[in-house]
Amino acid sequence: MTWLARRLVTRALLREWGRTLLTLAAVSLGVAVFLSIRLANRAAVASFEQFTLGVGQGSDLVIRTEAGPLWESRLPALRPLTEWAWMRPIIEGSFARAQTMEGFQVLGLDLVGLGASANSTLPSSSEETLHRSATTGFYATLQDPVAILIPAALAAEGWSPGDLMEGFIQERAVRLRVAGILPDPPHRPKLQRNLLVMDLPAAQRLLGREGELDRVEWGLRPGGNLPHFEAQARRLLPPGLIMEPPEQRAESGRTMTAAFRFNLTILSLIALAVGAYLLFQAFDASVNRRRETWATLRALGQAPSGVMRLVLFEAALLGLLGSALGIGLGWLLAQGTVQGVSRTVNALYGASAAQRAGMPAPEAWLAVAIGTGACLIAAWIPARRAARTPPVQLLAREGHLTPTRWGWMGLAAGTALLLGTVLAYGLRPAPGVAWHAYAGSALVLLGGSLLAVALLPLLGLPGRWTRRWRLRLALRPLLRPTGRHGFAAAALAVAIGMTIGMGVMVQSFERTVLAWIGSSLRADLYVAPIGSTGAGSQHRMGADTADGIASDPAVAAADRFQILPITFRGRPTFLGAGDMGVQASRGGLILAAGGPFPGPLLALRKGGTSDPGVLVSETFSRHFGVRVGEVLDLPAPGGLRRATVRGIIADYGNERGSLLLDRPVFLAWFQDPRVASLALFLRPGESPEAFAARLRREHPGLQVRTNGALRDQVTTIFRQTFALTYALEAIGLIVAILGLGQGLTGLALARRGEIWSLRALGATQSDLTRILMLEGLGVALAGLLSGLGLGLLLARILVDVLNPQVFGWTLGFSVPWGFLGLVSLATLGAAILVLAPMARWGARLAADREVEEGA
Amino acid sequence: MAVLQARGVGRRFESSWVVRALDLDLVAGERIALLGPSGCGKTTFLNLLGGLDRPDEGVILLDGESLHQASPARLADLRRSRLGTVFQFFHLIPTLTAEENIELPLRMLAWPEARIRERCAELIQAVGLAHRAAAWPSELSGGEMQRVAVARALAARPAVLLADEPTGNLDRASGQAVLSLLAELTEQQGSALVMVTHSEAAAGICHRVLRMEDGRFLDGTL
Amino acid sequence: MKGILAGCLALACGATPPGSDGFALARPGYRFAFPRDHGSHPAFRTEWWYFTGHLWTGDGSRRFGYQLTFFRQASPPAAWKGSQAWRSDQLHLAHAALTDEKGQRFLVDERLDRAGLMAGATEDQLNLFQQDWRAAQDPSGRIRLHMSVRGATLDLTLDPATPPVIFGEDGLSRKGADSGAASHYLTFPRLKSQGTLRLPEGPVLAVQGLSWMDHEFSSSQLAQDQVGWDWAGIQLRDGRSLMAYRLRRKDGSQDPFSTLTEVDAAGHIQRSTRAFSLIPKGRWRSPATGTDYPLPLVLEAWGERFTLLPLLPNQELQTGRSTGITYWEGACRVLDATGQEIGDAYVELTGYAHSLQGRF
Repeated sequence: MTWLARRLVTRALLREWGRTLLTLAAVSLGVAVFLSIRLANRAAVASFEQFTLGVGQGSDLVIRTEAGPLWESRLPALRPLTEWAWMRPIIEGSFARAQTMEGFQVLGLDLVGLGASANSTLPSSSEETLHRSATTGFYATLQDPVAILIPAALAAEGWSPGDLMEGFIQERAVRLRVAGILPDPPHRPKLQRNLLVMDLPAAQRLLGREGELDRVEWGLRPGGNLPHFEAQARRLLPPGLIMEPPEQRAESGRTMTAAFRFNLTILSLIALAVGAYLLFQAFDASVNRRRETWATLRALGQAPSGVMRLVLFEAALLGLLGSALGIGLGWLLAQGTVQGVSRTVNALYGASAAQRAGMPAPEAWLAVAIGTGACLIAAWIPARRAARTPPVQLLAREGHLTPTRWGWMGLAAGTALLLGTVLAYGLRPAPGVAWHAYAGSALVLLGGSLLAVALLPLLGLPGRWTRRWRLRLALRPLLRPTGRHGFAAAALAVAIGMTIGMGVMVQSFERTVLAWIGSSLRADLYVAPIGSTGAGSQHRMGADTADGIASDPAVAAADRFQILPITFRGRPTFLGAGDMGVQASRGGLILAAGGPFPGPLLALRKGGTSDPGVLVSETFSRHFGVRVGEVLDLPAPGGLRRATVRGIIADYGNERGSLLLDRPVFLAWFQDPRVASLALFLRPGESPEAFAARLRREHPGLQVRTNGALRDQVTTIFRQTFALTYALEAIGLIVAILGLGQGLTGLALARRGEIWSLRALGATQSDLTRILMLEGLGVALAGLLSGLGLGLLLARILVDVLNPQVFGWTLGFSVPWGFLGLVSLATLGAAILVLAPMARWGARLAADREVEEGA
Repeated sequence: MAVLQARGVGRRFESSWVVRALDLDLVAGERIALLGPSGCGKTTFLNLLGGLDRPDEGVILLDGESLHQASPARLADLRRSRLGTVFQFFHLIPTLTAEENIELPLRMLAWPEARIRERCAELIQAVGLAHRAAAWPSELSGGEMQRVAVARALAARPAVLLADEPTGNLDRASGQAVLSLLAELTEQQGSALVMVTHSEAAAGICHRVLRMEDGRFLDGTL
Repeated sequence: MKGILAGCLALACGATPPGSDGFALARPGYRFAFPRDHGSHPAFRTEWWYFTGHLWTGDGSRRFGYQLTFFRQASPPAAWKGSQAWRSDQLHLAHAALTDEKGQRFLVDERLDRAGLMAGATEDQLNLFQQDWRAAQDPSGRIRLHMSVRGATLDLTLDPATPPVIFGEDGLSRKGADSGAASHYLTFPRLKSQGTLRLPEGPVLAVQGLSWMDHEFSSSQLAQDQVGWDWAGIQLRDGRSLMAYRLRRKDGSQDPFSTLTEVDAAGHIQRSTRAFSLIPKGRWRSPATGTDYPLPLVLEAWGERFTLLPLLPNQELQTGRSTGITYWEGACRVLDATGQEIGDAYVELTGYAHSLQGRF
């Protein structure tokens, strides 16, 4: 077997290096795209998990409030719990560096108590040295209200103890002093570089949150028992405090990127679907090309299973090699992807994400398994055919290319498309559940790829009547398409369909969001502390600053907006508050329910604290199944507060959903006058630019953006987010077009006799090239046309079903004709680029060996 | 006057000569059979004569024009108008009907439609397949396919018809029918025929038989 | 992250910079007043409250020793003192240990906190807490202790039948030739104790016995050439209590300021001497740290001879997460020259694993 394998498989692969390279390219690109998406995904999630896994030595339980800060004065009530577990109080905040405006996460920890939560000490030898060198550093950290400990990654950039870091916390200018370097934890992910650790009281003071904590982490003492501890904690827990396993925090990080990850998942599906088509095609071609070898082996007495093993061995070999290449390529690709992910996460959530993707061994193995597995599966049917077909038939020359039964395919295509659509639209499962949409999309995808095959004869129709011989020769094969034509068209249709589907969805999304922004961003200026980004940001400006700006003579009205993360019905969401009076008269919230604007807002204002009302975002309403008129129990520092839902507003800002209170009600409940952002409406005649310039001068810690600038920024962020999506789709498309080339190469090989006879009949090189090219373009066109239809249908399902179902976002569907045109042109252009050399090569093919060597 | 002349033609693959020092004079209407065992180089020689391959030495003249020096375009042109080819494996275009296969060379030559129709009807009649004009090659028997191939090769009234084992893949009866068709049609339109074969029976329809061995004509066959 | 923790913690390890840095020094003529002087003295750099004791179950079948120590350590003076809830100027450290003779086990735990929400000591009376550990004196004079260590929980009421003993001359306990090397040192040598002990396995035992409380505050203790000390609190069945305090020099000799004091049953100091000897009658090497401890010890003075025989050899404490000091502190039986058991003792051996210089 090995002797045979070496000669029949390895040698053949080396000899036909062109084909080998093409197959390897297909496998490695597929594996690379798949892997890079997984790695990027991992990096995105890992960066959110870093706090729980990295900074916190694994805690067992987290105590937090449902809403608002955790007042440290509530801790003594929990003191008895220290019998079973250590406690780590934590406050978080953000710092923006002055020179670069780079965001840092400030983590306030009790640096003294921190020691008590360590499970074991250092080896005694190093303990002594550390003790001696660090004593003064310890007190210098503890007794300096602006001391920070920086991660090793930052130290590697040249920061060292004693350096000063200038920047802003909230809107205040602060100067921090590097007091020490946090060593990277062994056997754990490195600490993210934009983490600053401070002593707890210093952090509280610096963040202007004396007496407040964000959460308290608990870890069992040795020999402790978690259920018992949880029971004790539950017994002692004051109202308003909740306990949750630490994973929940990471989980909320996961939901933060859910939309993004969803995007990536769909992309990896493209890679898989297109890759599968290509591989099948490649192995089919390989078996075909060498059918004589297999037939001869059979004739010489090799058992069918032996032949099958040889073919599968070739597949495994190509799979392994291709996967190995794909791992390298995927890792490179992932670096780019991670940059994209991190930019997005930064932009949308204000959280910092990993800048580099790792290459964990399990991922590498998975990639190898998938690459090799896919090859084996793709080779299975051709291998069985090689093994089972009687040798005589294998040896026969051309009886092989049986036309596909495209009539049936058309019927199947229609059925699959119909079923898929019905499935996606017909069912209405609970919010968040979307299997029907996924299954529907898969069916639509299948239908679309079958449709591409069924479309081939239609495109070939002119070939039936035309008298132009080249056109006739080029189009006739489409009238009776072979499996190879079908595969190439189907793969292309899937790739184009996915690209169009995602693209149209993204553009619909963009249009909707831009319209929403246009409507909701009406103020002249937006003011926020420097470094603020998205709902997750922890930057706030003091009430005094906000009041000072609002009372400026140039300002006609100001909307003070505040937003807090809260836990509602056990799930994380956001509670915001704005000035409904200002919003009603000058704003433009888009209402999905509750009456026309500004009715619900005025109802909120009118209800005041005696009959409090709340607006909920569409996402929130879908997640929690909340309707207008419903009364919600909202968590507040003073206990649960009741509020009636007065309206549902469109909000594409975050996928966790949000609640909106009128500011007076919020102030009464939360006693938190700080402001996350300030929307300013200027008096007529005031120049926003001039006023903005003045504000920037007076408040260097604030970022002041004009309406136009903010819109531009949002649009840029949006485009950045999806740039990556487009890049990955392009790869899918390129792979599909390579597949088209590969498919037609196989076709040319199989028809070399025909080509030879055409040459004998007097067809020139350029005639043959044109014929092959035209045929290929016909296939590309079938793929493109059915891909366009498929893509639009997919986009509709994504927009109409998946987005509302998964994120609770209602999007307006819009067809971006320009984008469709661009994809079409790009596809045809790329097809021409790939087909031209292939056709030229095909036109030169000699008939067969017996012709060359003499019968 | 010879339509096709070969002088000192040789063709080498790698370092060994497959054919060497071959001379041939084919006059209009003449039928020649190239007879020889497998691997003697007769197909190679035929490909050289058809301009499908270029000799490494010697010259081949078609109507006095050197195939050796003709541009690829001119060669293709010559193949369209002056040469016809019939293969052992028929090589019909599977996506064209019998009739369309026959038309193909005429369409390549851009004949007027009416003449194409006329000529095609004539040929399909001549090869006795009028009733199968619309059939796909896959629906034809081997003998029928070869008859279509013969008609196709002769469609443009070539001066020379090259046939490579035209009966090699046919049963005796069909082979006979194809042979008589070849003789009859070339006779009719005055085309010369060079037929590669290893069947003595096939050689029977030819005026001359050239025996080849190891890439050379055997003595006394010229 | 353990790296950070261990780093910070090593930082915290009982770090006391040399010099008194403006802290109050122990001086002769200090006027004690109670209950105030059972409370905290933040003007002094270092202060500790040491509770040790011997406990038996009602039927006498099981015997335990316990130790609960609260340390207070002031930071060097600085402008930023943290917040009231998380003070940076006062740190609290605590050790707890339980010796279970029958179970042949020694359970140890430690705490490190800053003054504020999680640890504190009032200045007007004995009222100490650190996380869940507590020691407080109620108006009747009884002291209540609560400690938990590795699943075991001890709740005790200690009854001081006598007033506290104040060691040294004129309220000052000299620890070296340097005038600054001194402390204020008071003791309840015999506290009748009773309470409950919940074992890690679950059963709750009623226990009773005799405890000893030391309370000492100072700003500078060990002199330059001193590397550690040996201390013993001996409660004899005849009602006498002995406190031995031996300071060891680098050369291994006994510092002349070492002291042995005898207190009678009524709590009065009967006699005191610097002429006593603690003689090692064996050697125990700790498997955990490789440190050699002179165990058992024999105390010889005034013509008497007491053998201090540990209940368990391994009563070593490694306190890497609080004081950073490794020492031996354990319950012992006291045998007379004839081998008769005549009392109980707690023995503390420090400076064997590493010098304590610069730490106290």
